[in-house]
Amino acid sequence: MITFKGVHKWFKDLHVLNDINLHVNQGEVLVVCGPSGSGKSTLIRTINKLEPINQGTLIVDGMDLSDSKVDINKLRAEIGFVFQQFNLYPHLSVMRNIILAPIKIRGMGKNEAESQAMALLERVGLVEKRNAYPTQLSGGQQQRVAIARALAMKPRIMLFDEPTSALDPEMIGEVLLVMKDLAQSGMTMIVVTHEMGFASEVSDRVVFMDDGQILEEAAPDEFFKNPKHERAQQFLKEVLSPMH
Amino acid sequence: MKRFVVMFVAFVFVAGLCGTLLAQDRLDTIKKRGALIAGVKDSTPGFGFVDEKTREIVGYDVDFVRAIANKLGVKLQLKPVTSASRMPQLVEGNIDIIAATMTKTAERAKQIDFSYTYFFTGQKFIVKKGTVKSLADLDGKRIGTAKGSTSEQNAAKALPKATILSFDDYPQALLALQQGKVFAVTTDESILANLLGKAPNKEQYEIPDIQISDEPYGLGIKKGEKGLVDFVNKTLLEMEKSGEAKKIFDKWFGPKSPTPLQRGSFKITAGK
Amino acid sequence: MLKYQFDWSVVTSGKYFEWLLSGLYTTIQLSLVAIVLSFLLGLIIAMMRMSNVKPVRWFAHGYLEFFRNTPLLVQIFFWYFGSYKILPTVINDWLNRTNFEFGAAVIALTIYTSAFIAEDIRSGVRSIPKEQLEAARSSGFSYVRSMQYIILPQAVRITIPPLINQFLNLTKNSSLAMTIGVMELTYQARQVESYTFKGFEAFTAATLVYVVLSIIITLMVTYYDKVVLSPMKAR
Repeated sequence: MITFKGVHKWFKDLHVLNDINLHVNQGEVLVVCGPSGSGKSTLIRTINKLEPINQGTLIVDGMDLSDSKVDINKLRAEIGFVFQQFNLYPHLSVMRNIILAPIKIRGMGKNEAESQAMALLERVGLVEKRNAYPTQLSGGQQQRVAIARALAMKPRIMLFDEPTSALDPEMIGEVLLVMKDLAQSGMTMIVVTHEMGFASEVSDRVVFMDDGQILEEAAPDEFFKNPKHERAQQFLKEVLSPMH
Repeated sequence: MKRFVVMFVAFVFVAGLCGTLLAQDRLDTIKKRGALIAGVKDSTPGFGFVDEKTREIVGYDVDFVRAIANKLGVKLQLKPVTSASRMPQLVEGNIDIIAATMTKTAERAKQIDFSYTYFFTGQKFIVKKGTVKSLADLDGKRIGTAKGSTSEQNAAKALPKATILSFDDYPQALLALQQGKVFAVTTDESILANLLGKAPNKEQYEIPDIQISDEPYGLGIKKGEKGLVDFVNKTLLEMEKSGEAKKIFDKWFGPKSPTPLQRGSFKITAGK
Repeated sequence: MLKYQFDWSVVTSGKYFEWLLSGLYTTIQLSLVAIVLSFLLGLIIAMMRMSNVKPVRWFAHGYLEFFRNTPLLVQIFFWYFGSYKILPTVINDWLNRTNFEFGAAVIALTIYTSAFIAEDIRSGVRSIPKEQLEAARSSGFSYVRSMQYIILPQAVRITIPPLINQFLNLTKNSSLAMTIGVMELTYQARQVESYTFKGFEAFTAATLVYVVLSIIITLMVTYYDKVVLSPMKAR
């Protein structure tokens, strides 16, 4: 579904992605973790070309992203993206946040888009907030709407960029619950997160990054019980400590 | 307190007296001052405009007020005015007399006094050659003129079905004519002749012999200044008699001038 | 001192009142048409100014500098008199048969004001977090569509106070149209003055009308802001 082959990216002198090789299968749930500044957010953002790569090959859903003939808008419509800061459209109601892209990009009828949105809102437990505006919602509610908005495009891949990092602790659970439900439905997901509980419970594979490199790639059980790389051990010690 | 009231009353009394004295007689004021202050145009060719060589305002209007100043034995002081500013300037006492191509109208005569007519013209049209034979050819057309002038009102009266377009000044109105935006330009013949004299491809245009109004120009004097009005009128009649008036006309509008006009049978005479 | 007789009847009834009224009508027409057009044009120019395509950006930049820094009066004369030299005779003949004074005034006011509006909108767009554009782009919206549906609606909302200013300026500036014979409010006030010598009354009436127009425009935009746009306000 997604293949990285020798991918490099630089921000000026900073080597943010260093020889990334990674393959994600359809229906797989991949968790990417690592300390901040490790390049994990950049990695996930290359997949829908929010960040273009400088070297190597990146193939998403059978399309080579460096091919100028690829219609990037069409590809992005197939990939849902959930941001750390939710990024709902503040000038639109919850309902209109969700139906905007299906109507304008997919050409869906308003009624169809709205009934689909209602189903999605039910799934994320926010039917009663359909006419609210983003600023009237809590962070957890906004993120759930953001997920519903992404799902409304019936994406083939869902990308999550630290979806719970900006949330108060008591709201993290409700978002993770939605994501878990989604994972169980067979969606191909790449999740950048520090939520190790989610990783061990839901993911098929964990990727550990540092300094722009993939240092470890393992099944969650193995990764948590027996991390091989020194920095991975250090990282796990930090995120799993009760003080975190 | 009492003393204050007395002082106040005295002050009001003196101030009132001064006011009366000041407003007494313009003729005396002029003589005492030793100068006649005249409001003239400074950009109307032939009447009041800046001479390119001497940088002074000269013209038909200027020569008339100069003759009056000479007769009074005082210096002449010129103050440029516009069609819009000339009457307020006079009413407020900033100038003694208006000599600024001002047509005598009944409306204006309610506000100020006029001298005998010192120049006589009429409102005509500039049109493309051969397009106009009679006034009827002009009605219903778009006619250009300049704002704030009597030309606009005369045209509206003579051509009720025409659209009158008022531009900021006459050169613009002429440009609109050349670009076909208006069918004719109308104002006093003297101004038209001058405009046409300076226009490129002037041979394509003409001023047909259609006159829609008489435009007698008068010198403007503040209401109630009988002494000054009488003096000015007397001087004008003398100038006509001595031939000086005609000389001034020939100087600015004679056959060799840039804007030749016909004086015809016009003579400065007593009466309105 | 000043023996000025006030006579308000010239501006409250009769022929001269009708003149002022028809002037007001023209002023409103002129302003409304130019407000709508300059807003749309301003949006387009603002987007061009922010485009990734260099020539487009340069063109918009030149447009802004040129039209903001040329006096409006000159622009009015340019469109009314100057266009004659550029356009073919057929078009000129056609224009001369229409009410081209009004058209030229609309064009000049629109282009002049759009340059200011474009700059206001651009600074409004810059104040929208870039994540909004990212969110839109990652949904599959093109740059232009992202602007249309997500960025500009928010930017315009932020831009409302300066936009009110531009609309008010436009309404006042519309009086310059009288220089080419558009019979708007100030033109008619001057007409009344030159017919009646009651300039004080005529211009006082015109001034009052401009003040009322300004208040109406402000109220209309404020209403739009409050009722139509307020739900997106942070609270």
